[in-house]
Amino acid sequence: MSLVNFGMLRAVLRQTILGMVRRLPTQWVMIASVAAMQSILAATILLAFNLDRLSEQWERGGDLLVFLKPGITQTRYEQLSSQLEALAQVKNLSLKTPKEALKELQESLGNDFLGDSFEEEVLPATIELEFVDDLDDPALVEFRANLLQRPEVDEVESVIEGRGLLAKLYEFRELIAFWRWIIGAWVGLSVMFVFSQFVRLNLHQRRREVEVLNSVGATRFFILSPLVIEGGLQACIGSITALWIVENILDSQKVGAEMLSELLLFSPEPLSLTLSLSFIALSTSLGVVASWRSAVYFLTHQE
Amino acid sequence: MRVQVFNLNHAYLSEHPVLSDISLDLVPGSLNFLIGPSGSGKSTLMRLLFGDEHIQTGQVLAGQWSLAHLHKRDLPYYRREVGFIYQDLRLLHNWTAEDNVMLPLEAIGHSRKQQKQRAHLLLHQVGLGHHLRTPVAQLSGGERQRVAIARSLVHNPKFILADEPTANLDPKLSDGVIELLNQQRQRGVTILISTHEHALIKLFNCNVFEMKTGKIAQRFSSLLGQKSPQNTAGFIKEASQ
Ligand SMILES: Nc1ncnc2c1ncn2[C@@H]1O[C@H](COP(=O)(O)OP(=O)(O)OP(=O)(O)O)[C@@H](O)[C@H]1O
Ligand SMILES: [Mg+2]
Repeated sequence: MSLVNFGMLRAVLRQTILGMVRRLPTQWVMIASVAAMQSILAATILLAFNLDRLSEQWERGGDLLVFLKPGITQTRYEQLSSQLEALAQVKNLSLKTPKEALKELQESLGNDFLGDSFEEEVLPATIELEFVDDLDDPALVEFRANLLQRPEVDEVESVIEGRGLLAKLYEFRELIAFWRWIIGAWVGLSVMFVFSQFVRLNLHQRRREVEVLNSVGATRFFILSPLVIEGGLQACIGSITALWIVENILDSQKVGAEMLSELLLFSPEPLSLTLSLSFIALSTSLGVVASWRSAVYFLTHQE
Repeated sequence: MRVQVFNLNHAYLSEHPVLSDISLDLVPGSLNFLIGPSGSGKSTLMRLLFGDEHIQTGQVLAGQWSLAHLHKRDLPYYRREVGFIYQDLRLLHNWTAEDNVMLPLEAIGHSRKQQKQRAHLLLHQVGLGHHLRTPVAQLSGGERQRVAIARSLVHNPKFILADEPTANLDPKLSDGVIELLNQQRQRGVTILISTHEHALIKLFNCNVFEMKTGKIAQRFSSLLGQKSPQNTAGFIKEASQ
């Protein structure tokens, strides 16, 4: 009894394609529903991915970030710096002029991201303060932040407390990381369910075909494979579509993203290639396994 | 292919035996007819010989295959040596005649070109050369039957089982179809046909098995229509019904 041969593989592929073409509308419905479910998961992964990047970036920042009002002269900068430096427990102080800030932003985002459309003074000048002892007491940091925001220091536009924000960011990140698993499990189960129901419907529609195939000497492999390949293909196309949808949403939010990047010195990025490929691979295997399992189940219970 | 049936019994429901103690020996290259009233178990016997029903007691040896011990996994390989024409034909109605006939070869993994050549040859032989690409749904009853016959021959089976293959055909086509099946004997093919049309029997050298309520009531050979004398009375009685 010969095992799989090339002619057989060709025939299986042909049957897969013919089977899919004969039920084209069903294919679209299937791919669309898989894509819809997967995009929720993809969006969550994307959010988690960017939160990781954001907190990583912020970890490098100081304890207090002082945004200055525009149009301050160089001498005033220096006066302010020395005043701030005189504050107790300041370990490190770095001044960034609007030009420097812009340059740094362009470097961190890649030069072509902002293009030349930005005016030089678009970013505020900032002074970054780092305190001696890695102060963990938020009350103390807040006290200092308030000090800087007194009306007398009217060059200060606003103050960001790096640590407090970072703590909040971590909290949010953990929440998302947790939900990522829940959503992942939920999407996974829904996709499995949809595939098993689809295979069931498919086998029901094809019951006559399966009956005939059985009577002309088709092996189980020959009958099952097209269904399994079809499931894998649908899951694969569905997940690519999901990634594409999420990416497009990110793209359509470009203006928002630019505002975000001004505010946080951060620009959200699409999922890395590795993450995207793993996402597609995982979802394809899910489609294959789900279709195979339910095809075996329903074929055995139909007879 | 030699097909031997030993003491076959079968019951769908345990109290109602449908076949009891059937024994047959079909030699390679023989043409065999199964006759008998409706409900006498002809289709059941044929389904057992095709592996469609599980063998309960008894044994069937078909070529190298022992059907009582046939593993489910091996059934497709046995079926590749057998051609079956179902009473309900089992065609795919929205497929073309050609695609239906090609299916057994597709299941074995033949190339598309080989499949087409064989299918076209057989469809021409059954007189459907002009309907290659017609969906079966658009064919008449007799034409469908001929598609099913072409499909059962396309993979050069060694054993052909035909359950009332001429039921929807006019007498001329009927004779033609049986003649086509009969030609396969030259290759040593064993043929078993169930039929109600007793007139057919007179046209061929064949063995006839008459079934009654699950038993083989009579068996006789018909030599070019000259039946062996001791059975004449029974045959004529049956044929005139
Ligand atoms: N799937 C089944 N389940 C239960 N009983 C069945 C089944 N198939 C057939 N039978 C019974 O078995 C008996 C023999 O049926 P079978 O189909 O073998 O007869 P037949 O000789 O082919 O008749 P016909 O000439 O009308 O085709 C009948 O009484 C029928 O009711
Ligand atoms: Mg019958």
